Amino acid sequence: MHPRLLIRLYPSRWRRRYEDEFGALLEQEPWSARLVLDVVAGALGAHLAPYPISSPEERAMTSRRIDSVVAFAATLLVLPAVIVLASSVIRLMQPVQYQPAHAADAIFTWFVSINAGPLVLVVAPILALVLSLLVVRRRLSSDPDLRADARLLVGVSVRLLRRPAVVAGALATVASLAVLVFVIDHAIAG
Amino acid sequence: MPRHASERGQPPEPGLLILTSLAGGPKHGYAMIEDIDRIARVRLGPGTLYGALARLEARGLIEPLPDDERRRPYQLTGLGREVLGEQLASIQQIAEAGLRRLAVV
Repeated sequence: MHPRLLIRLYPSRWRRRYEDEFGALLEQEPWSARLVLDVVAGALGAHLAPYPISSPEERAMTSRRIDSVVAFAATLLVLPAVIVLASSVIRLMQPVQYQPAHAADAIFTWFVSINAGPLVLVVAPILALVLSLLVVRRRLSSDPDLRADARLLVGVSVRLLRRPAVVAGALATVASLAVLVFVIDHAIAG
Repeated sequence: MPRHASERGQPPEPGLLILTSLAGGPKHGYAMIEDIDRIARVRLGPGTLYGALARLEARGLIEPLPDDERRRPYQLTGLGREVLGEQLASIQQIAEAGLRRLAVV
């Protein structure tokens, strides 16, 4: 019997994780009764193993899923604060009988009435910040490509910030567009 | 008659041998067997090796690297390096005490 066939004695979960590399190793070892006994004993041990067996790919996927859930939870935590702050600004931009100021005013008035300011505007954003920083740290430590991209982004940003004309031009562009959108919106509403 | 003292007594625990081998750098299974044979004169069988590798990996003492044509190298983690250092220091202490006493006798 070829020792390679002995891999079938191992639990399926163990085989999914180690079969390829273990098979490659067995192919390099000369066949002997000692080898067969060793593999059979190893298979028995794997059946009795009290520890979890998961492949690096499975662990990486689980880790990515956990990070996605945590990042999504952080977004949900900070979303109410974003809505409240946006409502407080939008309701001041128009008379409240017009939309979207009317809806914004209703949201803001309801928010004030429930007296949840500290929770929504302080506690939840702090929690969201901590969770999102943890996710970013975990992803940066486990993903070399992401680390390279982040370094590139920081490098490009630093180079751009060293050019005051570019920064001033970008700010002027964004401010001009915002003013124009505001004016056009008022002209249409008026 | 055994050709070496390690064959007369209990061979060192496979986990310790693997950690010691990986202290010299990442290795795949066959390279570990050869290295351990060289440094400890113990030839681990593939079943024994992979049983110990799985336990060490589950305890976070070693970690796999991307595979190279079905042969997956492993390396020590920070925790593995720490645990190995502690175990070797303890063995050294026992060995020194034992050897001193043997010399006295």
